[in-house]
Amino acid sequence: MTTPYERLLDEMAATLRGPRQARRRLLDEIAEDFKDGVEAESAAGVAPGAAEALVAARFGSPTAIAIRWNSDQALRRRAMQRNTLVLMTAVAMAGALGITQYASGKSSPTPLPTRCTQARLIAPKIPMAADCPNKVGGRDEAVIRRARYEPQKR
Amino acid sequence: MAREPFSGHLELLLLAALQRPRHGYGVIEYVRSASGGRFDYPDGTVYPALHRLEAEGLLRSRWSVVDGRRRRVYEITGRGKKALAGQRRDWERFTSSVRGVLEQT
Repeated sequence: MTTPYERLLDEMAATLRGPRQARRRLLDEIAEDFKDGVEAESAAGVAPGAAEALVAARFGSPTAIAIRWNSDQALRRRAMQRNTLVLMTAVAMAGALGITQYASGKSSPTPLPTRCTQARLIAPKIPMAADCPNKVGGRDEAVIRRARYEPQKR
Repeated sequence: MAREPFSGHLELLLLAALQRPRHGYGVIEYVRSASGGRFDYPDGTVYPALHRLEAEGLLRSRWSVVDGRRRRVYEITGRGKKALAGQRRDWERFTSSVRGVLEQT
């Protein structure tokens, strides 16, 4: 014969949807907390069988709780699918752009050696080593400096 | 004392209860006793809400062994604290508006 507690967990397990690990965790958590509830009722003087029935009744309808859980899981799954779609679209667009650039003969700018980039970040005012190109994103640094520091002529 | 349906404020109450780490049953007991038994709702409703808040990054949880028993202990995150402060403000604004109307009559 099954106890109210076992019936409750069986009913929930049969109705829950979503990742197996998340369902397992939820059921384990409920099982442990259920024991706490029974212990608290027993300590208050309720007979063991009656304490279990009382805690099971206070838990509410397992089906209603599983429905709520399932709806949250479905929302989460849809949000994840949407994020994956956005990411895949972004990757596909970047790929398509690269192919278009390659086909039209423009290659991506060659990245600077790491030590050049680091030197620029740490001490931008110190002249670069001879093999570090004096260009930023294809523009001459002198042009950028002029644009930044010299007042614009009206 | 009459029991209150409070599903609309469940998130606020859970975040407030979890300013101190607690497991599911501890949260249920805390809300029940702090409300003087007024918020005596089905215990099971708390679990989907705890998992939802955790997925939103407002809570974090871990298994912990206390007196030889495994318990899933929840606590509020930094993001959860901000959300709680916002919800508390909204709630205070709402109650003060209601009080204002009641005091006019």
